[in-house]
Amino acid sequence: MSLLTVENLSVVNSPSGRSISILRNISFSLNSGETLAVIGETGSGKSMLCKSIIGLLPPGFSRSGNIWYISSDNTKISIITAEESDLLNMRGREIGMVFQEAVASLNPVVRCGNQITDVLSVKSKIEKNKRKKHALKLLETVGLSEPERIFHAYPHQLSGGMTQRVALALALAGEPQLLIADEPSSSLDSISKKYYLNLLNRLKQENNLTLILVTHDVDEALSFADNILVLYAGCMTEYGRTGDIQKSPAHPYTKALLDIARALKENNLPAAIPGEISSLTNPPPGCRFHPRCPKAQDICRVKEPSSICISNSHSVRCFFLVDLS
Amino acid sequence: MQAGITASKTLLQIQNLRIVYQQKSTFFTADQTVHAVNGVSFSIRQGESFAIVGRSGCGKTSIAMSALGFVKPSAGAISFMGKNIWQLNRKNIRRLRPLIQPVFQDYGNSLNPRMTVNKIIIEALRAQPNDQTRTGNVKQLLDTVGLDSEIRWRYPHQLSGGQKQRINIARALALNPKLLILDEPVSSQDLSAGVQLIELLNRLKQTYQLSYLLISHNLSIVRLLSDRIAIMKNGVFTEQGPAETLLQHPSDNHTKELIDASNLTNLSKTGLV
Repeated sequence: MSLLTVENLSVVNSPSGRSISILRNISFSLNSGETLAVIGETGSGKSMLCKSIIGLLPPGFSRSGNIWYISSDNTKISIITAEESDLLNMRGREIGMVFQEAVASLNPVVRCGNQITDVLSVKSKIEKNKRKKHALKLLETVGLSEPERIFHAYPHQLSGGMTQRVALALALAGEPQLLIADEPSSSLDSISKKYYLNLLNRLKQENNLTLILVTHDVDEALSFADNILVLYAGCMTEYGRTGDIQKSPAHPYTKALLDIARALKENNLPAAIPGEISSLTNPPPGCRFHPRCPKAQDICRVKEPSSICISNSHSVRCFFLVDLS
Repeated sequence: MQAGITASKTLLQIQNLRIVYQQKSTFFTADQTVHAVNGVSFSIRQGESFAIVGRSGCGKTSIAMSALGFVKPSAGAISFMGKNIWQLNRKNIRRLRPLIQPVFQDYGNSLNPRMTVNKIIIEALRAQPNDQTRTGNVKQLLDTVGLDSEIRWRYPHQLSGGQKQRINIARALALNPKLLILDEPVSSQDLSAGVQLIELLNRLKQTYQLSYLLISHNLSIVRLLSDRIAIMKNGVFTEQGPAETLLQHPSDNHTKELIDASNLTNLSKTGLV
């Protein structure tokens, strides 16, 4: 059974009477223990999707559609209609999140260890005198070799990779079923990044974690995820199993991203996608990708494509699919 | 390396550079000495792109800051066009400074959010004689970096990441520099915007015979942008040589480790490797 099911999720921001569509009709489901990678360019709505799932949208943003979540006691919860008190209870215990800027997400004037014990005091039933021991264990679990030193350190005294792992320990403190990691490795160097991804892999297997990994690194998504969701300017362009998307990307945008990633891996300079991502405040009519699409025709400029199921687990929104043969 | 580069003159020469930071004691900590750069030597010829690759905190940015004149070296010499920049008087430093321009990693925060693009670039063009020339130059500079001239009336928050980085490059080009110091110019960009920037930087290098000191931890970017590479670890160069040779036949373990880490296909399914 799916742990998380998102049905026609739309997010709208309404500053000073205007209505800006941030996300449009996003649908996907995620089984327990699986990893979903959400890929797309900056401004495609990746972080907004995560914040919608955990119920942390900024003021002025409204959601429609449905987000169903099966809690650890097997209750089906609608995140969209749930009371704020229920959501508060779920955050950390059911759904954990590692934010994009780990340093900014930690309190700079509280020692790292105390930040973890604070979470434990609210989100777990561990007795007060055992919290420090548990926090040290968490720091060790996320691969920090000197947990006692890190426990007493302030965030500014740690390197980027260490801070990122402390943020992960914080997210894991409430033993969530679902972990959302928003670009966790984007600021890390290549060695730290690989270490961090290996760590996530190990934790996922040991704790049967379900993971949503937000990234703009296509290579990272292909090597790490079971499913991939491709977003473009707030619209879902393609969703499917990683193998299917890697072998036969159906949307021209997905194909362009994969071609660039492949060329870079083969040490060639690929052709870039022409132009810039469409603005969410003034999006083009029809398919939002059409100004940059090599396959665009008249219909793409006036009509928004609906979702086409290529197989049970592979769907795409495009009038002129890439030749799948 | 291209034949023309080998024959061209040396632009930047760094000899036995050492940078030591003294951290004063606080209520919680004792005095600390950090040896950020520990005897680094290299040179960059006109029209050549030299990359320093290493993990975060290995001392790459300290070298760049020293070459820009922001961080005084503890020992060693930095010569630009034959002159030791740390022995020049103020007047001569002012003359030399336009020729070495930086493009910072944090492309958003390096643009003043309260200035339009026009004003940001004009700030760099202040040495020019009159406003008319300045406006002409702004349009020309925007055209050089592949941006529409109408963009000059926008504020940084109205631009995409790729556009912001192009504005940074346009501002760096405003004073006709000979050397650009590029600190992770592409690493925080999207895939497609990153590729567009690599194309732009390669084109500018060819057109204006620019030299680059590129700082990065991303080997696929470095491979496409540089003629020579140095691998840095704990303040020293562990290996340096022509880009293709070094990446295809690495001799140092740290180089091999970096090359291996850039390949994510062999992620460990079971543990930390």
